[in-house]
Amino acid sequence: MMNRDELLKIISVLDFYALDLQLYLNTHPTDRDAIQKYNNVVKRAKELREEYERTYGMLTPQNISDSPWRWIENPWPWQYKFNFDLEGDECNVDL
Amino acid sequence: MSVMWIYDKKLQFPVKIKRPDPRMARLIITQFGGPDGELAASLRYLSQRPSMVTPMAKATLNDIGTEELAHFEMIQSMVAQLTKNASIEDIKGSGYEPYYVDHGKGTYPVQAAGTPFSAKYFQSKGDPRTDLYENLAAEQKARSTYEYLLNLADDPDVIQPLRFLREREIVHFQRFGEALRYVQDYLSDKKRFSYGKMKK
Amino acid sequence: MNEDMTVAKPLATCIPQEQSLHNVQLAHAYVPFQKLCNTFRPLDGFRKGTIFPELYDVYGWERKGREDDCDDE
Repeated sequence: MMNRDELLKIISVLDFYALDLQLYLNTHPTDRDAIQKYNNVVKRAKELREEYERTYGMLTPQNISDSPWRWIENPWPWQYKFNFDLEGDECNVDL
Repeated sequence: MSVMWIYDKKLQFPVKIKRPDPRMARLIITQFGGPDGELAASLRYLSQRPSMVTPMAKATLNDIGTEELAHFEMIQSMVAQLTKNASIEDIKGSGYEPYYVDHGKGTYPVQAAGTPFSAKYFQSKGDPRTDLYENLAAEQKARSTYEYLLNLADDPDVIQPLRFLREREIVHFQRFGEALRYVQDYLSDKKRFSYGKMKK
Repeated sequence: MNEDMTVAKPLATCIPQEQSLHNVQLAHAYVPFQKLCNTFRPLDGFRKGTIFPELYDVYGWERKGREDDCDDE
């Protein structure tokens, strides 16, 4: 199983991939290849989000919560310790 | 539960700065509340949305305006982390003092020289062509600002997110340019046939 | 083969050279449409700020001695 930072990193990377395609699709709405790529990435990101939220807490307030209310858990994204480290030689990592 | 925007509890790109640097915080804050900053960008595009014609242009402004809010949050995180562990000794002589006396370590939207954020930084002209030309220029101005900031940065923890943000300006320029193509076609069609052929 | 060639060759074929704009008018600006070609691998695109190689550092600033990413486009 992936640890929190690894999981958060892959979710962030896939969300970004989807966003860049989303902006592309807004001006290329009939590009089937791009839509297919987009759908694949979004599906994969959804699965990983569910996995993250089961263990590490809510990413959006649209999810169910244990008690006590998990949404307020620290840290928050603007804090140092929330974020994962992007350092290191990761050029050969495929997602 | 369902509101206009749903907060996603993560940054678009990680900000993890180990070394305090109030000098750099004082400069980077211009992308928080300055004339070519992320708040101005977001409000510019979101304010202009109702003037847009063609589905492509509407979606482009909506979604880029939203992404700019994520950038606003990244810049805020950078400023907060650059000052959080800064001592008074670090702050003295760093150029951060004037900001410090007014705002401490709070993040307040100002430009680098201290002028507070203003809606004067952008237009919403009610003319889709005019607005898109403004947006193309805005992306270039923000790109230049990121390059100037990068020229003054030396910490890799700071450089990495700044480079990410700089590249986003280029991508956005391309998308506004493509949206402009549709809008110009739509407007010239309308002129020739009096009625719009494309669904507004 | 020098490094620039390995980057430039596939990229050049990725940028559509529009042969004619229909109804070109004066006092209009035209940005060429992108056409989906290759994408960077997800993590590499994330680090670079775009998944599209043809949009990466279009104005050449990164290449001025700052390039330190993976050259695998």
